[in-house]
Amino acid sequence: MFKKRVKHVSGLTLDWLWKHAEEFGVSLQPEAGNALLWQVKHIVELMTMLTTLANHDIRGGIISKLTERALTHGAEFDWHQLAAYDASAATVVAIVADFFACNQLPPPFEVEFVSFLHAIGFFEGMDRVPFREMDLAYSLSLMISPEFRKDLPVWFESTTFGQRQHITRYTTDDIYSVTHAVFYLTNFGRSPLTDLLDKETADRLRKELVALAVVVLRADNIDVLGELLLSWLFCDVENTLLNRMLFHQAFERLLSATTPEGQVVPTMKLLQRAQSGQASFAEVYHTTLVCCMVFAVAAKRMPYAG
Amino acid sequence: MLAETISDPMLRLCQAEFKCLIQELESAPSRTAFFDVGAVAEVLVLTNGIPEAEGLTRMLCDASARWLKSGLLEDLLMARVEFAYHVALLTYLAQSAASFSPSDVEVIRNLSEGRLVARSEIPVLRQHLIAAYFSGCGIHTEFGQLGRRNLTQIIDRRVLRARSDEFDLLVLLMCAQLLQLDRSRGYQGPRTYPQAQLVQAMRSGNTNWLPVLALLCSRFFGFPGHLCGAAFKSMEESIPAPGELLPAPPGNQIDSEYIERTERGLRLRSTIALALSLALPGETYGVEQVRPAYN
Repeated sequence: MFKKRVKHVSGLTLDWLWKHAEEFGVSLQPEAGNALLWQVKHIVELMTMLTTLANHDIRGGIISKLTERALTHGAEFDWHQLAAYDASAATVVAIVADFFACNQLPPPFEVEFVSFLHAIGFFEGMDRVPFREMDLAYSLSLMISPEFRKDLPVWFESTTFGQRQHITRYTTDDIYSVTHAVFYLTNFGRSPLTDLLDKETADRLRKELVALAVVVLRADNIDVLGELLLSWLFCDVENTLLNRMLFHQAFERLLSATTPEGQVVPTMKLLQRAQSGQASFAEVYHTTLVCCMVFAVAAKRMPYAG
Repeated sequence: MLAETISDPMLRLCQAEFKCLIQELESAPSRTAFFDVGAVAEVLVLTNGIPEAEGLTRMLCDASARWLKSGLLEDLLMARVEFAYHVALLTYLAQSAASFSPSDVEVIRNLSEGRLVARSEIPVLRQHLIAAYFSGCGIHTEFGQLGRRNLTQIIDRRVLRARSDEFDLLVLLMCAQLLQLDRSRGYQGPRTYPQAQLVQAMRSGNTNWLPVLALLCSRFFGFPGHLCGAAFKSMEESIPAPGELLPAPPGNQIDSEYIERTERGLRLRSTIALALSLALPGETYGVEQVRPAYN
């Protein structure tokens, strides 16, 4: 019964994404300025989801259509302009290159140009928070050399989790730091945590994910809860009776934030507006992407099926 | 002559303004007033050995000690992660006040050792500065390694970016503080970026940044002769009218969620830097000290 619901809702979110596929496209304004990065955010996050699904061997008609559309959008944009403008664009071009590679295509930009920007240290000229440094190391591992993966556990030590911050003091940004760190450390669920972390740290991280999921369950933030559940799946959190119950409770929360059309709202406050068709694309697309990944990966792996 | 005619009146004005700011924060603590005090503190902490700065620095240290004793600093530290850097700086400065007692730091030490503060996501350079200041107060805080990177790269490579804002100047102020604290882990400090910013400030007429950059270059990052003369001439042309502070930086934007900058603090810190730069020995700038009156 649970499996059926998960598969059903996974299909619903994909339907909604396809229905709004055009809204993921890049829309350049004349005065691009520092807004350039924000204009490609939607399409790049869609590519992240599609790459993750492909790497978990999750396929289907709508996924193929979304992929075709994202490839078309990706080929139309001048990524060189973005890469040269903003040092944080390293992440973006890496995601784009990874998405194209996963579809057996070369990147839609000159790799040599990105290599040149890396060689002159352009991407490093930024004072980032530690999990964004992990982001850069992960991006460079995709584009320049797998050797950069070795930097991931080093930067991880400087993150909120690495600093062993007290659980009661986590901000929402700190929780995103943990979820993103898990994405990079596990290569979005393709590598075990212990590839880069010692067993003690990996065990502590799994326990912290459970605790943070409980904390967020008591709040109203579906977006970060979705990322926590995705991290939970990527980290293979122990399948105990208690963890299974908590996972199901959290999962039910995601399901309750999903409208019949398949959009997932970031907070329950927005649900009523979304149900009456008044929530904007910008308000719901990110949570819908995150939860689409959670539903699809859970439907495929079903590790905590009751 | 220079000190008497220009610097001294300017410094007296800054002292009066700073006194008001301190009183305002004490009577009604606010985010804005705290960041304004922080902006001034970042410049004053870098003026060791400049006699003209001693009055202002003493005011700041005494106020910091009062805020530490009253619990204001710990309240701020618990309230928002973005206050951590300035709290660490003021806690460090409080130690120089006559009224300071080592037990005043106990609560902040306990909060830090209990991992209740300063562990949230904070940009790397600021992490290192917080650790350095806390360490100077006997509070152990280790934020991990820097991967393959060093701070010189993080800072000097910023010159390749197509834009800059107040955050760029903040980066240089933080870097200078690290150099002063000798916590630079063996790196020599950037050269290219500070000097490029100084030239840019002169070219764009950014009279707010210019004296801060001149002070930083003269004391920390190197100040080649041709830049000294040009910087001094530009500063001379930007001396504000009597009783006025320097204007705020044009645009006054900041590309960071981790700090706030308002006009008041930036105008005050830059006017202090200007007054001190003009009061520095003439050989620093390599030009004759004949300046218009300012009183």
